[in-house]
Amino acid sequence: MIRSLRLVAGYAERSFLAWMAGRDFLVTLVVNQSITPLIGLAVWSAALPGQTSITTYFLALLVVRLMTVSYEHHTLANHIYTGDLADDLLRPHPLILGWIGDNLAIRLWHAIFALPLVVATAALIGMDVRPAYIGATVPAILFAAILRFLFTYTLALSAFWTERAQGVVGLGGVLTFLLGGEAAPVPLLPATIRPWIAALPFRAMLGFPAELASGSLGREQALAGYGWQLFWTVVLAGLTMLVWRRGMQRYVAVGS
Amino acid sequence: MHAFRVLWGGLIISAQRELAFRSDLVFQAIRMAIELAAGLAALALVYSRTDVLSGWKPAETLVVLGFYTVMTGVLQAFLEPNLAFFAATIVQPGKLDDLLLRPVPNVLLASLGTCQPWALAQVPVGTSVAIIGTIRATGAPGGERLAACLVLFTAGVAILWSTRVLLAATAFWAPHLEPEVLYDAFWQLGRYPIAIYPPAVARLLTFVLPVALIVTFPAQALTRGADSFVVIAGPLAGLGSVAVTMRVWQAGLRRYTSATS
Repeated sequence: MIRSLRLVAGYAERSFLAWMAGRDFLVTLVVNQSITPLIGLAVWSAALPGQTSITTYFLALLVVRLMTVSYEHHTLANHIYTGDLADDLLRPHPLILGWIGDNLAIRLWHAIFALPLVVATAALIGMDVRPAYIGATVPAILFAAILRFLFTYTLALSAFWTERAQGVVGLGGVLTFLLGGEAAPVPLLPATIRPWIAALPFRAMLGFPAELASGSLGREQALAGYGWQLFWTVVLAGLTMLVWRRGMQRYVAVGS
Repeated sequence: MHAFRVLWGGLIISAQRELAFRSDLVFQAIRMAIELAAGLAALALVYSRTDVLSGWKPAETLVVLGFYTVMTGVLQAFLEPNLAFFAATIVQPGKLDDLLLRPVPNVLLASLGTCQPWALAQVPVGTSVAIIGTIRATGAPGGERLAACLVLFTAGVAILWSTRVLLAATAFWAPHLEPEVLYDAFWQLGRYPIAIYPPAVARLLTFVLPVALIVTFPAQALTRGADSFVVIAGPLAGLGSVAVTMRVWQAGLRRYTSATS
């Protein structure tokens, strides 16, 4: 365990330093990731003017999105297509550790660049920040970060079977937008479909931590949300391992 | 005419190439359908809480979404496959040499040489959404509104092409910048009428990154009619942006020194 953590830290440090050369590009990535929650903020503020919980929700959603960002469909999938994965497989440790390290590094860069944007937006809209809500939100963001990584990683593994993984991951992205609380906060959905949407993994990846931060959940709803996060983490971890093993049986290096 | 025949040939070859990635094509088709459904569902959810969004009724916003879908189709079909990561994939490795040697206007070949035909499916889908929205909003539009819309739509296509090429042309001066990611990000703002954004953002989307001219104005002309100033200014803005783009492109080419430039 300690060795694995050291390896992840080592990969994260290496990737963090490598990204230093691409700082300009990172800024564009941060802006790209920020636009959807900011559009949601504009639309819902116009639809429900004067509701501070809405503005808090979308700003929290912005933070969650940036802290859980995953680009494995560009990195891992390309390694599979180009055959670089063959080199990775020679390393004497589970391959996923390297991707976790890379993921942590890019999230750290996103946090560094996004902090001024978040603070400026919060100041501009007069966000209502309560320490108790923030405390309850941090573990949910950690779970969401794990979930979104596993989700993107698993979808990126479709590169073993498809010619381009972008389509599969793009489909996952659209579902996350629609059902994860970006198109509309889940508590504002019609009561008939709300429990079903709340039970899906998409809300656990994005909307749930933002709902906690905006203080729109009671104690029982918060506990249920954490329950779903735990459930989906176990399911997605199992699914990731299964898909990886099946993919490995299929992989025959470059030109496969 | 010769140039358009060459571009048509590129379209056919691109279609054949895309068909090789059949599973990707299936996922792209499903994604496109879900994306539109997501847009419609998001609108339905917003309007379930309010009757009017910054002065825009549901059917009018539907028309904006329709035009946004059409223009996104044009952008993804023709411009993105050629101009995405233009600096890293075309300018830095010196691949522009090949285009410069061909007997076709190089700016056309560089910006429209290949395409992603599957993205064009968004054009009829978006058009249908816009038609349904218009009929719901005002009934069948009169000839004057239709003409104003067509004029502004054509101007919008010209502005879309110009702004995207202009952005790609920055590669000649700043080859390590990838501004298209920003363009994609700001493009998403066109999904809704610009009236919902704060005034400063709305001005930005009208004069700097004219998503309003490309999407909102044609939709507005169809549903509310356009005043004569907008109908005259739109095409002038389109022509002006094309002229500026051609000048900037030529200036950029003078700086281009093949690989490592």
